[in-house]
Amino acid sequence: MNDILDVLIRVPGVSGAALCNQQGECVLSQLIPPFEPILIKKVVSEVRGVFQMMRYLDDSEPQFLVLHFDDVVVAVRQIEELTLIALAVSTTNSTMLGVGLNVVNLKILEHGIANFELAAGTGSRSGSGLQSTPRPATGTTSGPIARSEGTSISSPGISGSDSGQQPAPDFIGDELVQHLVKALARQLGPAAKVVFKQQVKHIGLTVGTITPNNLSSVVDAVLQRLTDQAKREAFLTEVRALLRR
Amino acid sequence: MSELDKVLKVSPGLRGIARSNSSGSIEEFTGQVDAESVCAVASMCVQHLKRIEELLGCGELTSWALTTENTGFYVHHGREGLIAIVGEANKNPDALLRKTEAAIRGGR
Repeated sequence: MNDILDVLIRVPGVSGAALCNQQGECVLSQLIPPFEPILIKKVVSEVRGVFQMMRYLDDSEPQFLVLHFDDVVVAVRQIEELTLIALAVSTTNSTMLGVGLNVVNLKILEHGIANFELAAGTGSRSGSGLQSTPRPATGTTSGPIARSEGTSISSPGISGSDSGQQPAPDFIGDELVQHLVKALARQLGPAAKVVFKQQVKHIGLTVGTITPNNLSSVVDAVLQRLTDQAKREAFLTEVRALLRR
Repeated sequence: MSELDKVLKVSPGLRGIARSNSSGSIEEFTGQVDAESVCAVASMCVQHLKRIEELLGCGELTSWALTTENTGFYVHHGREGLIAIVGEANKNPDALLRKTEAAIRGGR
């Protein structure tokens, strides 16, 4: 079944490919040293960490991830519970790489996803030797990002109508929410808004359904993300001050 | 037109773009984007991506793209921070990542 990866490996510049199951184990692989299934398993674990982070922004299923390093491109295609990963040199034609990933995706679906999930624990398979040797990248390295002046549209803040639904009649109000997020930002930095929304969602609420009755649950949920005792105290002090207003 | 506006015009599917400095503070943004959230998530993803960088040993991470069913997310790293771009889902994120990279580098 390893030949399913052939179409990808034959794309000029692609130096290895693997298909990993839900546990991150390579159920198919065509890799050349020093790339080994054990390494790919760790890479896939980190890739899934990225997918998890993205859920802060978008709940829909991740599909593609492409990473550009100085000397290599890593392309990942998520196929339900399976993760298809390809390693290529930086000069690889992105369209051809995309087509290769799509064809492998179709072949996997044709064989049935379950067949690959069942391959868990059977160990990785050795490559067919069809790969090309990785070459150094040529001029794709990004330098420092340019600065420019001027900003236009203001950032949409966190608000009770973020979920697309009308806020609850006794919603605590956008102003108090903003103050809470700012208080959290003083402890957590720029991730505060994302973390706040996530914790609200974690307890089954939306920002617009935060009311005086459930506010303490929201604060408790947010506190779960502040592991440093001093930061917890500082946040709580600010929250108490806000509520006394 | 700002440099960021020019990058946004690379594709009609791109909705917003934001730049944050190395400490994570937003320096500039334009278009339809929740700049703070997008840059924060990008920064949080970097910890995982840096581990991949260490594992592979194939140079530094320069840029990356992630697409979901609904969204395309493109990030470019530099010494001064990162530029994050949000757009519609795209079947070939690598191509758009390269286009935006070229636009960013062309604007310097």
